[in-house]
Amino acid sequence: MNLDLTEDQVQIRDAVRELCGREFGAAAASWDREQVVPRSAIATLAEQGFLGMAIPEEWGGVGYDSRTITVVLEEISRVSAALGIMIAVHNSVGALPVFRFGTDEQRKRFLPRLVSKELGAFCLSEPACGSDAAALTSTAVRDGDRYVLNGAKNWVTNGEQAGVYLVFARTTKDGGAKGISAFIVERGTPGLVLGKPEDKMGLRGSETVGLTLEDLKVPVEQRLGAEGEGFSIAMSMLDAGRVGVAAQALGVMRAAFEEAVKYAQQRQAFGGPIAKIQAIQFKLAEMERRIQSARLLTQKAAWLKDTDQP
Amino acid sequence: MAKLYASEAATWVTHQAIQVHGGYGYVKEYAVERYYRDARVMEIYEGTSEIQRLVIARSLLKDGVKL
Repeated sequence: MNLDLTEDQVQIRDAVRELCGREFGAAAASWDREQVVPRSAIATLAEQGFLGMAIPEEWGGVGYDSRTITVVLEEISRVSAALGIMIAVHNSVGALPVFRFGTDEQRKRFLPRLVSKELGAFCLSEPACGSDAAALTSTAVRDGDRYVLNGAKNWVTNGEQAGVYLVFARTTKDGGAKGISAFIVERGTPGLVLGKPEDKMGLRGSETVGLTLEDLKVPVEQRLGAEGEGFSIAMSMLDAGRVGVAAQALGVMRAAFEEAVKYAQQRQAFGGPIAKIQAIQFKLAEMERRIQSARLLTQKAAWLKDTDQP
Repeated sequence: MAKLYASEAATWVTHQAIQVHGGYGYVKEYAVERYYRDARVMEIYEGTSEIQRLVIARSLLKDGVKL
């Protein structure tokens, strides 16, 4: 296992760091206050290909491996974790499932938009089920050449801005996890009713909404995967997305650590900078230890993915 | 495992960063209060810490201990 970044990865990391600092550094605090990341920020990242990180070049993406994606997500999240989660969700559970499980028709129809300008959203959790996702109760009833969806979804990241929604609903009454199917739904489809963004503790720039499915009609050709395959699609995408959360966490903790080191060297107390006090030094050392450990685990997880090991 | 460790490390590190700042860490003039709020949900979304531990335990009981 070689965990050194390649020259390309170092170059990408430095470019993202510079771009995010320059374009978003001053604004990130106001996104938090105003509870919105402007679309222009998404457009800036889209220009650099960051909406198509997990999509191969022949389908319009930039085809990064997992390690490169974690490096990019860490840098974005270091400046704005709200922007980080939006981009992470879009790439890992928005665009990627369309490529991974979509037919060529579906790829042709949705990927060009997803890699260039529109965010994807993932609608699995419901008001009454989160961790127990197999218990979801939204229904999709086949009616000729379409399905009619009814139910409610919660905690939809990008829900406010997305162009494409991946919606999970039950196609058979029983069957638990095996009765769930996945559907690609376009923004603006009648019956896809967006709720108000949640008033959250953190990641406030990232708009999280609940939505309801009210006789939402979805053509059969927009079903992703086979009937009953929805739950396994959802779980495999979440598995793939988790290393992205580790990268976001790394970005936030690094930002906090950098601020703490800077402050400790400036702040004067007891006759000198507080960085000279052991109580502070121990904290800084312990922060560094956890950051380095987290990075090793994250890079190893990404490396395992890139080398197709479970 | 990376997600579990990193998200819990992030809440710890951001918590301590506020402590280093003292009272100033608790006001919005400094960024660390935002980092602290932002980090917290990472132990919850895309699989809570509890679900992550469940997955790890299931895997080691099924496949054995990996050295």
